[in-house]
Amino acid sequence: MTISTESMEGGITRVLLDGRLDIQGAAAIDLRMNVLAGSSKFLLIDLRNVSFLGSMGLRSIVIPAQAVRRRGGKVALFGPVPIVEEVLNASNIHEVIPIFHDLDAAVVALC
Amino acid sequence: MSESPAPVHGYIDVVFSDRPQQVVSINELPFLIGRGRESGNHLAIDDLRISRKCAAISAGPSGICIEDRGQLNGIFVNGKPTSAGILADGDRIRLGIDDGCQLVFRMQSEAQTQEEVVTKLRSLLGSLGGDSADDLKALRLLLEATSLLHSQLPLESVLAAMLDHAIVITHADRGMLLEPDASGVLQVRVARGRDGESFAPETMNPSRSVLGQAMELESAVINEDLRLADRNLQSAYSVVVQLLRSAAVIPLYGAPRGQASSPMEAPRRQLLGALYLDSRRTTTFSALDRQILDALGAQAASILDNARLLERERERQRLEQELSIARQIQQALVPQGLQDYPHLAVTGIHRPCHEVGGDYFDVFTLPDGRIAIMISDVAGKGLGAALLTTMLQGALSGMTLGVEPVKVFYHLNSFLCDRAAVGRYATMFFGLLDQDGGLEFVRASHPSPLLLRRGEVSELYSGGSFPIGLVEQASFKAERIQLEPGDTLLLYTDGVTEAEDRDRNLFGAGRLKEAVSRHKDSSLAELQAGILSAVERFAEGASQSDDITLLVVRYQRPEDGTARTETQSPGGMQLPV
Repeated sequence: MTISTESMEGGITRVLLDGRLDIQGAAAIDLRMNVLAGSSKFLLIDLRNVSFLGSMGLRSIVIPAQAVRRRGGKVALFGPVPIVEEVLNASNIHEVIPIFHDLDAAVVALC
Repeated sequence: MSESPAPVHGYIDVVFSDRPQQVVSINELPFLIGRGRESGNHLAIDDLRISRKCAAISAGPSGICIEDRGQLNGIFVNGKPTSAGILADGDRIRLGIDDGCQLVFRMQSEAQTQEEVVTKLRSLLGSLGGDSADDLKALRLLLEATSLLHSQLPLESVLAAMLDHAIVITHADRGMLLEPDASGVLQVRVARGRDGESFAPETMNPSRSVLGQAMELESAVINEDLRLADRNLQSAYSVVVQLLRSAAVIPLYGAPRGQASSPMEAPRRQLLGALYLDSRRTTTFSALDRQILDALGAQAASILDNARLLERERERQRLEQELSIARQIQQALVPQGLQDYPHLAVTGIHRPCHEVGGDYFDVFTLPDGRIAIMISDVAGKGLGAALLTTMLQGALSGMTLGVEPVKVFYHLNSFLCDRAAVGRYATMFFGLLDQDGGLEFVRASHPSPLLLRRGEVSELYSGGSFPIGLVEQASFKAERIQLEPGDTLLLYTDGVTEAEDRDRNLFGAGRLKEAVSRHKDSSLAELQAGILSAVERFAEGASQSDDITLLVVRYQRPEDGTARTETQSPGGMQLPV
């Protein structure tokens, strides 16, 4: 599991996750995600390269996202593969954090 | 030893490739060798490749014999395969495998033993350059120190006794044992005076410069007179303050463990600590023989090394014990021996992948006669998840006091969200079944139970719902369906559908439905067993990576005389071996 970030126009921080977000994957990104949650106003979480999303992995995404929202920021999830999107939908996460498959639409929603 | 033909002193050197040699006395014949102590082994070898009953040493008509008691691949004496044979002093015994430990048999008659000790003493005394009473005393003390190694005293007493011996042998005023702290700085752990008194370690002020010198040279350092030593030492603050005249420092190294990274490079010795002795008399250590210092160092290092191993082992045992208590508690909390109810047959199983698990199910009756059936899966595994299942169970049992399930879900959700540091959330299905087959349920992101009705398998619901404890704005609602007599509900956790084969393919909901529909005419116990074996066949021995939990219930109308009564297998937890 790897995590990297890049800055986009409009003050958006794009977080690129790559690998399996299982228990080990979650442990590997938790610290970085928490730091990002404390420092970003607009967070775009790029899930295109996440091949598996487990229950602890879901938490690693949702908790930092909620923290950003509580501080008045916005979060969007981008490009989950079908089995990952299934997990997000089964937990009603899409009702709290919008999911996009189109990058431009995600950026518009964040700004 | 009563069975042996002549009084002998036999022992076995156990030579390991990766840790110090052990010496085990043969105090009883037959002397059993094998894995673990449970089978009554006198020499227990902790190696899975060694059979529980491996070999035995016993007294035969013509001497001490060894006999193969069932070691896989046999035993070898001096390299030759041996099923039974006479042992001679120095024989090398190998147990089935090439790279395990090697045993060396040692045997001496009692008379020979005593004679040898006397000879050894004489030769040692010779090498010390005299046969004064003092040297003899020193050696006796050294031997006593050796015996401390095998004593059962608390560690602090052993270390203190070792220091006392070192003080007597070297005629020092004080002795200290130092151990490196977390940052590697040597700190005094035990300090003793020449009259056997203990000093508080923090009041000791050993000369750091002499210590540093010994660490740098990696060997014992004696300073006859610190005032005359090199300028660095002379200016050393602690020496001046305490007006110490002489000191001896012996660094203590553990036996090398593990392999050297290259053949050219010797394995690095691990610094265990240092023995520090000092005296206000200048010549105290001048007459001290190097051999005695080295022997002292070796003994002290060996005691420390063993003590550390023992401490680690005790810590491991303590953790294991705690975990086993957690497991007992979790086991005691799930319904034991699930009973049938007038309108409901029940069976269930919880198979955690670790000692304790994050899945749990429960079945209980409400005062109004409805029966609660529930299943829950806490995110994560092991002890952390298990702690939360216990709390969920406690909260949900409150429903027997007449609280609405939806209210309990809301309460639990905000309780956990307020305590985000708990770091866990749960999926859950909670159902209440009345006598007429009405099933009211609340779900929290839990996979839909499967409904088996007249041979057809379907899901109770589709679409998502919030889990408990992940999102504070989560909402929950009660839903309702009508069950028909003979309807079977299978509640499960995702450990079932996410069981993986060796290529990481998932068992999946499709295979689960197939397995259920194959058992449309089976008893609940057969249905449950059929699902478990389908999962096992699919996984083909790939290790189980999540808890697997099933709860199967069948609704039957109580006044319906034709409804079959299920004979139940005992429910409750099934734990991994």
